[in-house]
Amino acid sequence: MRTPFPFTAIVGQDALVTALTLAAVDPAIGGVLAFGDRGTGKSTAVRGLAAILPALRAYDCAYACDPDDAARLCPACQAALASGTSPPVVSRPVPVVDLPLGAGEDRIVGGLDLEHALLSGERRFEPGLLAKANRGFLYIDEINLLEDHLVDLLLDVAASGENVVEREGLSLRHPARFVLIGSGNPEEGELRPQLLDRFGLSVTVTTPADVATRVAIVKARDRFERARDAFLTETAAGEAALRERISAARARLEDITIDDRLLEQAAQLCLSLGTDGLRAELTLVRAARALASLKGDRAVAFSHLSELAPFALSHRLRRNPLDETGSQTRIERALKEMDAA
Amino acid sequence: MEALFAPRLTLPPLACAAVRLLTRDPAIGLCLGGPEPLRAVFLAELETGLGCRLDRRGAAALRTDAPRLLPTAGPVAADLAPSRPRLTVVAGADRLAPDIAAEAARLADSVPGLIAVDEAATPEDGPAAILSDRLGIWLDLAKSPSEAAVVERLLAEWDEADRARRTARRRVPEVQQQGASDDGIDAAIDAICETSMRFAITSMRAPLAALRLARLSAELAGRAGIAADDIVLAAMLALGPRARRLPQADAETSDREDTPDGEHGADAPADQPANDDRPTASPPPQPPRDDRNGEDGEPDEEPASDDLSGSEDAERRVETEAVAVPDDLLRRLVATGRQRPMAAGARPGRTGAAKTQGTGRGRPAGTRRGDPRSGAFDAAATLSAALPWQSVRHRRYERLAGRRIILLPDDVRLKRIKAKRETATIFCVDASGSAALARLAGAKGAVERILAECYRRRDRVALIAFRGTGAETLLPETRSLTRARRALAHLTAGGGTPLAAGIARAREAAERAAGFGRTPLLVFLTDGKANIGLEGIAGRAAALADAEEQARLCRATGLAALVVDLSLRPGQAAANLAEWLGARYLPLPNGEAEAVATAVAAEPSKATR
Repeated sequence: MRTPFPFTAIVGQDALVTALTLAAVDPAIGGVLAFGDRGTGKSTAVRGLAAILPALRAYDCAYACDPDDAARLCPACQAALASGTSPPVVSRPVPVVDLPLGAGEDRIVGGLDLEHALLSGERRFEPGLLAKANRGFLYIDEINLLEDHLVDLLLDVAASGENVVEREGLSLRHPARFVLIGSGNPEEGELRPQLLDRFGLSVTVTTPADVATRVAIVKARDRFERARDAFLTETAAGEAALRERISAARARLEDITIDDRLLEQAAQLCLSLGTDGLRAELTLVRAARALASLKGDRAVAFSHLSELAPFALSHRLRRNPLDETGSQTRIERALKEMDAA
Repeated sequence: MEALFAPRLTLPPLACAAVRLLTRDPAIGLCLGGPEPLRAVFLAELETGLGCRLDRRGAAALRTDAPRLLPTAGPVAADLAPSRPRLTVVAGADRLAPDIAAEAARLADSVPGLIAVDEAATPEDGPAAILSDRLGIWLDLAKSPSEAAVVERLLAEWDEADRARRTARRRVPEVQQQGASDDGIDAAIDAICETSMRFAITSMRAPLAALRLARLSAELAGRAGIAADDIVLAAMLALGPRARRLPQADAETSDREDTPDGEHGADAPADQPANDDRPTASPPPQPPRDDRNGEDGEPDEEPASDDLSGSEDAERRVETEAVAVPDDLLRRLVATGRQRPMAAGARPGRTGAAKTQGTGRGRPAGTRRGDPRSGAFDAAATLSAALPWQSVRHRRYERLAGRRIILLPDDVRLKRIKAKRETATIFCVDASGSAALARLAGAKGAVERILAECYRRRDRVALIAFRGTGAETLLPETRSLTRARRALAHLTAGGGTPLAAGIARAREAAERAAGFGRTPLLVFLTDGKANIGLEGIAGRAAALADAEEQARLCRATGLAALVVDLSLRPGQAAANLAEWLGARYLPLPNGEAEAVATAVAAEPSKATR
């Protein structure tokens, strides 16, 4: 398994890097949607992130169940624990599962183990991609080309953390907590607003517009491919540092305080921008808390809110499809008004 | 007989260079286009160079077998030397369904070495961008670049280095180990990045591929550093074909010399039009950039992207006017369309396949019996069908008694999938001077309203404009509303009215859409006053005759159409057009809802058969 390109060595995609780091600190934020041109390093960033996260402690089962989380075990692990024998604990890397565009429902959700059924006549569940992605990332490229009912399914599972299988005579549920990362080129089709809303953060990824950044990207990538070991040694320190920060941020997350006044401001911002539903505020506050934790602050401040407002809100603004004003300007305007107030 | 064609079947120098580069590093990937005989020659030469047979697959065979498309990363087959990775050739790459293309792209990432053969007739129909982006070289054998001198020089250099290697029998030192930074490399990277920016290439894979090619070229020539020629070759193979914008203005401020140390190569020549998957409509002229890149002044043999240098006609950006258009216009239009199903021109196989089995995408909708090879196998339903008979069959087939389950072909159940039937709305807008004078602003408003409906229904839209001497596709079929609006906003008016060309282009687009299983709807916005014929010759009578012929051809193909009359007063010309097309006729409303409603409601009387 080749080592992916180091996360900390990614040049020119600060917004994407920030969003992914936040999603790693607090998976409850709800996934990242990266809109942008092809070849801008989206999948590189996702794989790099997975490599930087500390390895998982897991039971040796198909779902990589968490030994510390007794409430969310797969049926097999539960049965084993109930009978007194605890399954062996192994160390696994954080899984990143690519969802192929042509995947059907059975490949994603899992289904009847065909061979077993035909040979022995018994029904057995064969886990799908969601099982593999448990406690990791599910990366969907070209999400705007994915079938609508599949996107619905994925978002439901991502929100509830559990995959409920009720098909082909099977009835079971298994843990499926993952961070959903979608990427796509909006020029090829747009996601429905209801689906957009269910992603936590959205980032617009553009190719750098200045030559210097492009040159830096090409040089870094070139170096990585031709002198891999040297490059990895150089970046190892940075990677370890980020890993530390993420672990520390995760540990501190519960202790970060949020002022009531700040909650009001968040609500006010969402009101003035006219976002539909309440997910906008929830996501904004959660993300701001994760950012504060990452930066080492004890409490969430307005600066955190304003920094994250574009990420959390720009894909939730209700807009007339023929409306020209960019969501970015609207958010900035609303923030300025609030600042003045 | 072959002797007659032999001189024409020699590969252009650029292709020869590509063969040598691929032989050296097959993992770089290639997207190959051009006439079939030349392609065959190219692939044959590649096989000779590699010394092994290429693994050829066809698009149709890949439909269900995507995971087996490319060789896995395991051991290579026994008949090949382990040091030579196998190259796979995918024919008809432009016909790969989007999901198969995505799968191929993913696999191409992990096991590089793919040649996609682009057999499409027009650049718009090329292979899916997700696949072609990952292929380093884009080569169209039909186009002959003008930098032949550079390529010849390089080829000669490579030959010489080859000879030197063979005589000296020692390996030429590898190019540029990292550690010491070398000016040549940095300058090469700078030049390549700069070029990719000028061409508005958004993918970072392109400059990386170009750098790889430049390095390879230097290595073949036995040089330690990258020279200007290498960069030019790399740009021609990897950057030029991907260009979305050609720096025209700079080509005209020509005759700047290369900088003295020759570190910046010239950009790909201007007469190699982009293998564009997003043709732009009159992009704003580029201000002459003040930078170091030396550009040879290329004479424009083919003015790429339209009218950048400005045409003689007065071009005006026409504003968009808000206009009242009935909300369900499209729905009614679709209703007419269905009354006349596609006639002889239809391709039953593809359309039918898209509806039920072919693409394999869509909501599950029950099961049916059938041959397991012809559809998706539904295990649960099959087992349910077989289970009641087990005791009988166990008694009957004694030799199979050992099996738990005895399945017979009758039990096989296949999944039925209900794929969505999409609509493609093709707008054909008259952007001539007469229309602008009349109601183009109103037309844009009408189109916008219809676009809103398309957005709700998630239809695809395409935009064709005709003016001057011909028609052009401003926007190939897309579901993206933003692109449609942008293309519409950039629509400028001026010139003659080549109505016949517009109709012909619209018909082609409709047939293409139908080939992909989508229902086409044509919406013509024109005043019908054609004055340019199909060949681009002025003359009212001939123009009208050509337009009538094209329109009747459309009607014979069974396309549903709508004609929106742009003239200031509803005139006979547009009404005639509607009659020839067998289309509904709608005078562009002046903003009064009632008038509009009556107009649409009165359709049946005006629409002739």
